Amino acid sequence: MHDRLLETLQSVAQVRLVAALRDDRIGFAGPKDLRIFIPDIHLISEKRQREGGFLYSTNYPDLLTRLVLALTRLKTECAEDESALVYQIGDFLDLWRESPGLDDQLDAAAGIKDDHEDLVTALLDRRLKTRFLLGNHDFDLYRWPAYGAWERRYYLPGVLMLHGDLFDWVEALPDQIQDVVVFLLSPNVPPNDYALGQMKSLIRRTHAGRNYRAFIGNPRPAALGALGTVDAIPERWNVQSQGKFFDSAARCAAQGKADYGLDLKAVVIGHTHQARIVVRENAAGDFFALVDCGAWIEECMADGDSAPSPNAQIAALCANEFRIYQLAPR
Amino acid sequence: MSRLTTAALALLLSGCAPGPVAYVAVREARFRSEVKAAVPLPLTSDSRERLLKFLRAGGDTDRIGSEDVEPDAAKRYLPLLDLLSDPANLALENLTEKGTFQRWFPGRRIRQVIDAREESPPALDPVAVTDGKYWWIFTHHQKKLSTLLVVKAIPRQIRR
Repeated sequence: MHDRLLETLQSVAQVRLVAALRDDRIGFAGPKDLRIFIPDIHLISEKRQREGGFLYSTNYPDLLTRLVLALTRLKTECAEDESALVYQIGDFLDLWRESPGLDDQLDAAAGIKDDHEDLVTALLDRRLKTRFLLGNHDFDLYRWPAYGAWERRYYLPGVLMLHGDLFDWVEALPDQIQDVVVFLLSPNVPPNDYALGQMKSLIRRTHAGRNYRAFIGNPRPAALGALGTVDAIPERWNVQSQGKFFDSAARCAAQGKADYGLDLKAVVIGHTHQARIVVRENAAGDFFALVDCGAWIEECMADGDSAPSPNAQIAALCANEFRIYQLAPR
Repeated sequence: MSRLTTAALALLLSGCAPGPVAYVAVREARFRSEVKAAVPLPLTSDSRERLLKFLRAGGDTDRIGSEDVEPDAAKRYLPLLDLLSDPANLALENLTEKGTFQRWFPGRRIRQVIDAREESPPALDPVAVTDGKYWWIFTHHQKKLSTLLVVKAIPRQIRR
C-alpha cells in the first residue's frame, strides 16, 4: 500500500524521500494496513497571524487541503480487506499563538477553524475519520465536548504514537512526570483529571514567557540530511543513529516493557519539526526506532539544496516499513 | 449572568481553577423550531412565518395554532427576523464581532453545541446565542451564516 500512497501523494505534489526504514523487527507486518501520519500544522486565525507578528504560518495550506482530500479518496477506495488510517499527531491548532493568556472559556479553537474552513472540513470529514492527538499547543482542547475523542497516545502493534512533548519533560523535569508517564505508557490506565491537570500545568510551564514570534521549535531550518528520489526506494534511506529525544524515547520504551509488558519497537512523534528516522540496534537483536514525522510549519534544509524549504512532511507505516516524504506544490 | 437562561449550559468565571466548559445542547423536537433540518438563511417569508408561530407558542410546538403563549412575540422578534432575512447581515462576523444582533444577544457566543442527532461533532463550530428565552443556533459556511435553529432555553434558576 506504500506504492498507492506514493501515487496519491504524487497526484497532488512533488515528492522527495526524507527517510525510509524497512525492517521486520518493527513488528507491524500487515501488507494491507496502512497508517499515515500528518505532523504539526499549527493553524492560527488570519487576524492573529496579521497582528501577532509571527514569522511563520502553516506551510502550503492549499496543498495540505488537496493532500487530505486525496487521502480521503485513497481511504474510500480501499478494498474490504484493506485499511488506511490517517493520524494527525498533534498541534493541529495553535492555541498558544492564537491567545497568549489562555482563557478556559475562550473560543480560540472555533475562531481558528472559521478561518481555515476548507482544510478543517477536509481533515474532519467523516469519510476520512482522522484520529487526532493533542499536542502541547492544543492540549487544552481535551476539556471541550467537540474534542472528547482526541487522544494523548495511540498504540499500534509494536508502535507507540505520541505528540512528543513528553520528551521535553522527560529531559527537563524527570522527577515530576511519573504520573503522566504512567498514563501515557500504560494501555490500561485511562487519563484521570489529576494526570491531565499535571500535563496541563507542565505544558503551561514550558510555554511560559514564550511568544513564538521568531520561531516555535527551531530557530534555524531543520537539517534533513540528503533527500532521495522516490523512483526506487531502498530498504534504508537517511536513517540516523542518534538525534534529539532518541534516548528519552528509548528509555520510555524500556519502561513500557518493564512496567507494562509492552514490546515497543518504535515511537512515532511530531513536535520537534525535524523529520527523521533514528535507529539503534545491536548484534544481540535489540532494535528501536524513533520516527519523527516533521511538520507543516517552519523550514528545513536538505543536503545539497541551495535554500531552505518549507516543512511539508508526511509519514507512513505499512508492512514493516516506515517512510517520510517531503512535499512541495507541483 | 442572571439574565441568561440556558439549555444544559454551564458558565464559569473562576480564577485559577478551571471552570466548567460552556456548551449548549439541542433539545427535543417539541422544543425546536424545526424537527429535522435547520432553517436556511436568509429567511424567506415562509420560514419567517414558521419561526414566528414557534415563538408565539413559547417555543412549544404542541401549542402552535392553539395558544398564543407569547402574544408580543412579533413585536419582540420581527425586527430580528427582518435582519436575518437580509443577506447583507449574514456575515459570520455580524454575529461574532460586530454588534448587528447585540440588542437580542448581548451575552457570550457559545461555540460548543452538542446535537446527539449528528454522527459526530461538527467540523466548524456553530455559534449559539441566547436572548434569555431561546437559544439561537447558527451554522456557517465560508464565513456566512447559513442555517438557524431556535431552541427553547431551560431556565437555570426558578425565581421565587
